[in-house]
Amino acid sequence: MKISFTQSGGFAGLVLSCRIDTAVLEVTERETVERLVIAAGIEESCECVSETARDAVTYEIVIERTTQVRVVFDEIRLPEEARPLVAYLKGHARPGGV
Amino acid sequence: MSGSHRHGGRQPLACIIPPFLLERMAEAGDAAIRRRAVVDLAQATAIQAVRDLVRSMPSLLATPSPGCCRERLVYDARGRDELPGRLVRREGDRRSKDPAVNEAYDHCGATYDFFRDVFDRNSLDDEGMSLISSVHAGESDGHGYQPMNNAFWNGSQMAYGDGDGVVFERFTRSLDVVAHELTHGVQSFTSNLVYRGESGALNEHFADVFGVLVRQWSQARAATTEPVPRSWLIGAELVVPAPTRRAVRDMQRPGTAFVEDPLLGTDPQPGHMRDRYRGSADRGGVHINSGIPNRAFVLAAEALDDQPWETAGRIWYDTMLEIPSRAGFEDAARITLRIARDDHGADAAKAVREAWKAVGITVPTAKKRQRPQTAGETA
Ligand SMILES: [Zn+2]
Repeated sequence: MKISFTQSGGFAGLVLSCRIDTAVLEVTERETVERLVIAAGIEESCECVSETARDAVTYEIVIERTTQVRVVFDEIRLPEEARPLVAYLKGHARPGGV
Repeated sequence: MSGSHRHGGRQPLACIIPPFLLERMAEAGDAAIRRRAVVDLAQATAIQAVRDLVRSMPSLLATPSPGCCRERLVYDARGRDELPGRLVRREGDRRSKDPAVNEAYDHCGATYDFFRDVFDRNSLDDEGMSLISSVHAGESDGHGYQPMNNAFWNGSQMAYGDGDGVVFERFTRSLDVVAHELTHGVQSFTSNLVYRGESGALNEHFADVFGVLVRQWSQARAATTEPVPRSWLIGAELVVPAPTRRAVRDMQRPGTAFVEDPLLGTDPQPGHMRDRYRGSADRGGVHINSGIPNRAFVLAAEALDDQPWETAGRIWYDTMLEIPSRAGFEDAARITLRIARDDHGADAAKAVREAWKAVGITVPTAKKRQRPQTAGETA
C-alpha cells in the first residue's frame, strides 16, 4: 500500500507532503499504518470541504492498494475516525509538494 | 448562538443533507436575500434536521449586536474544537488577564473602526453584526487535543489557535491576521468570491489587502511623532523568529516571506502571471496565487501619493463590493481600473493600469462611463 498525503491551505497557505510505502516499512510500523488506514474508513473517493469556511487547512490523501482512493477534507469536515491517520501523516509531512 | 458546534460545521447532519445545497444558497449574490431565503426555509419546514443545519451555516444568520454598533464577543475554546466555547469578554468589559483574549478584542475593535471610519461600513454585514472570536481553539488528533496551528473564519466567526510554538505563535498576535479573517467575513456578505482557483485567490487577496490596511491605518493613528515605516508583511508577529522567515506573506515581494526554512520551505507565492500555480493543492492555490494581485495592489498604492487606505484602498473596497463571485484576476483588474478612472481620475487610473501590467495582466482600454444626459444638456 502506498499513501500520498498533502496538507495545504490554512491561513499561512503552507504546503507539506509525504509519501509512505508500507512495503518498505518495518513490520510494527507497517501494522500501525495499516491499522490507522482501516480505522479511518477511507474506502471511496470523495471531496468534503466547507464552502463557507475560509483559511481552513486542506488534507488530500491518496491511498493506492489494488485500487486507488483519493479523499480531500478540510480541518472542519475531517471525520473523527480519520484524525489519527491524518495526525500520523502530518507527523511525517515535510515542506514541498506544490 | 444556539449551542456549540465542532469548528462550527462538523456534525452528522451534514452527511444527511448535502452541505453544498445549503452552501450554494449561501453563495447567492445578495446577502440579505441569502439570509432571508434560508431563514424562511428553516421556518417553513418541519424537518428539524434542516433547522439544525441552518444553525450551523452561520453566515446566513448573523448575530445582530444589541445596539447595532460595535459589539465584540470573545470566547475561550479552552483548547478544544467546539466553537464558540465560553464567553470571556464582551463589549465594554475590562481587560482580561489572558493576552489572547485582549488581542482578539482589541484587533476586532481596530478592524471595526477602520471599516466604519474609512468606508462608513457598520461591521461585517454593514448592519452591526456582532464580531465573535474564539481564542485557544484546539484540534483533535483522534485521541486528544492539540493547540490549533491556524486561524480561520468558519462562516460566522473567527477561530484562533495558539500555534505550535515552533513555527507559529498564537494567531491573535498580528492585527493584520485578525483583520484578514474579518475581511473574509465582510466578503461573505458582499462579493462572496468562490473559494477556489482565481476567484478564491481574489478572496484571499482582498483579505490580505484590508488586513494590511487595517494595520497601517491603526499604526498611523497611534503614531504621535515619527511616521511608522510602511510594511507590506502579513503575519510578521505570528512567526517564531528565525533567519529563514520574516512573515507569512510579503505583499510587496511575494515569494520572499520565508526562504529555505527547514519547517516552512520556501514561500510559494508568485508575483507575476507567468509563474502562477496551476496545481490542485490549496483549492487551486488560493493562498499561493493571491501573491499576484497582492503585488498589483502594492504597486498601485505606492504609485499614488496618499495613504494606501485612501485612494487605492477605496478603489479596492468598491471593487470588493461589486465583483462577481466567480470573477478572475482580469475581472478584478478591469473593475479596479474602471473605478479608478471614473471616481479618482487619470492619475489613479494610470497607477492601477500599470500595476496590473507589471504583474502580467493587461486591461483593454475602455471608454469613460457616460453620464446619462439630462434635459437641457447638449451632447
Ligand atoms: Zn484567508
